[in-house]
Amino acid sequence: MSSYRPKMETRGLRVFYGEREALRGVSLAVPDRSVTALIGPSGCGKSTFLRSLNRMHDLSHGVRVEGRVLLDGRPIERLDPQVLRCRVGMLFQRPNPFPMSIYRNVAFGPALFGVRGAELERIVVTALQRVALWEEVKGRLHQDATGLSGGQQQRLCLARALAMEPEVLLMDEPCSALDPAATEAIETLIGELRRTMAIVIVTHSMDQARRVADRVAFFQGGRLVEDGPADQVLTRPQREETRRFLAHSPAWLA
Amino acid sequence: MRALLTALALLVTGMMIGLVGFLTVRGAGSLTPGFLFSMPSGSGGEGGILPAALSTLWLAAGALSLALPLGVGTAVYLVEYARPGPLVCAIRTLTETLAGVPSILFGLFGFALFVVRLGWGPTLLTASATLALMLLPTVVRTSEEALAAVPQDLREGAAALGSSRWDAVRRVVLPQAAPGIATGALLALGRAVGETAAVLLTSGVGLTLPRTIMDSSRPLAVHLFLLAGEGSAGGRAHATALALVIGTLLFNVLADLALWRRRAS
Repeated sequence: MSSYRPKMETRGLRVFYGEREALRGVSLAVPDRSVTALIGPSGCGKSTFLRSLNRMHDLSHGVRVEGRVLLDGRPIERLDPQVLRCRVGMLFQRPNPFPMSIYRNVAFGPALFGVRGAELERIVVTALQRVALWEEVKGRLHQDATGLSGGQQQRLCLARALAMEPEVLLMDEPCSALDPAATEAIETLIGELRRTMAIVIVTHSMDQARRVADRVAFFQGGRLVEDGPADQVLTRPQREETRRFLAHSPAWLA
Repeated sequence: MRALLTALALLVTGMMIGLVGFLTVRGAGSLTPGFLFSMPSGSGGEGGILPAALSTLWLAAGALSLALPLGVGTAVYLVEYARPGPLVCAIRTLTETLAGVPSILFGLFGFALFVVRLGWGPTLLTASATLALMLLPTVVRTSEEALAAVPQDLREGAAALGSSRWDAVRRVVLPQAAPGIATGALLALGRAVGETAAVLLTSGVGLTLPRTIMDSSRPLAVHLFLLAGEGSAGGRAHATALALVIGTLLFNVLADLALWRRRAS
């Protein structure tokens, strides 16, 4: 299922928001061509962890990151953040299409790096087909993307990320703003994408973790409590904290 | 209490209506297309106001084309690049102070710097530059607000696709903030059209059609000031004032419309 060396790996990762330590030394390996789900109560540090993997914290003032994050065994701080984020794509909690046409949304990334003309068009069409949005939007590629439904917008954002052909895809509760049908569409896509890339998904839904994840990592209080194969962590957790969380995890707790 | 407040509101509205009404009664008769579009004669006491009206338009356009890039650039720095700290604090405080400085001080400063020190003399460029300084706080403030209103999601979305900070600003943030910035620019323009003190010493008093930015010119507000000072022009002064009020009104209505359309969408 996964190659010997992890696609991404953290060692002793600590993140501070000002004085507050949100991540207290997390070491986790993310295997290639599989889905790793991060679960845990809100404020446990799972989103903070995710945003460390593509250096999203660089954008915020007063956030300090310590420890190592490796991509293919190389520390990511040695990479240009722009190059890193091309290789490690991200899908956000709320759909965030740019206020421009559907076409230009998907073309945004490749166009930044100078792709033009027929090549760009091919990339856009392929990306829209991959997220099963092509049939729905092919007649209105040049209309404003903000006119799409929430589920369509999220698939558009996924297409936008896929247009960069990332090696790793980070998803921060990508279905929390979507209805069940749109959620199912995204989960189906995750199932297909995991064959070609490493996916790390933050989710507050244990059902979703059960449906999509190969591996599960449970966070609590800024620490990684337990991680392992999904069915093991979700059904036969080794640690008492994990057991307690899984036993008392109605949706509102997350 | 209600009666008192109503009376106050009526008083204020009454004064506005009285002012415009007074100008209309005295000036409307002289405010003809011929007056607007003909050249003045006899040192401005007779004939039309074409050069002055054109000067005002050029002046407003010139001031805005200087103030907009400077002001938007400053706002982009403050919102998108600067780390919160003493420098940002200082720029904000200075900008706010600048907004409260009486316009005659800008006029004197512009006179001292552009007319005397740089030796440009009183010209359209001089007056535009002086006016631009005065408009900067408005442009910076409204642009800052427009930029701050752009959701952080969009910046992160752009960054996550490998765009640099500047690419995100240029391709996503600025287009999203553009309507707000344009509204601020229109508000500034409304002020520029009517401003007198800042241009009194910097624009010159030329009564010919301004052909280059280095020509002396006489904007409507200055023209009015001079006519009123002579006390001999009668209805022409009132007509000039009326033209000025209508012009200012027009820009403010445009700004309001832009604001209203943004709120509606």
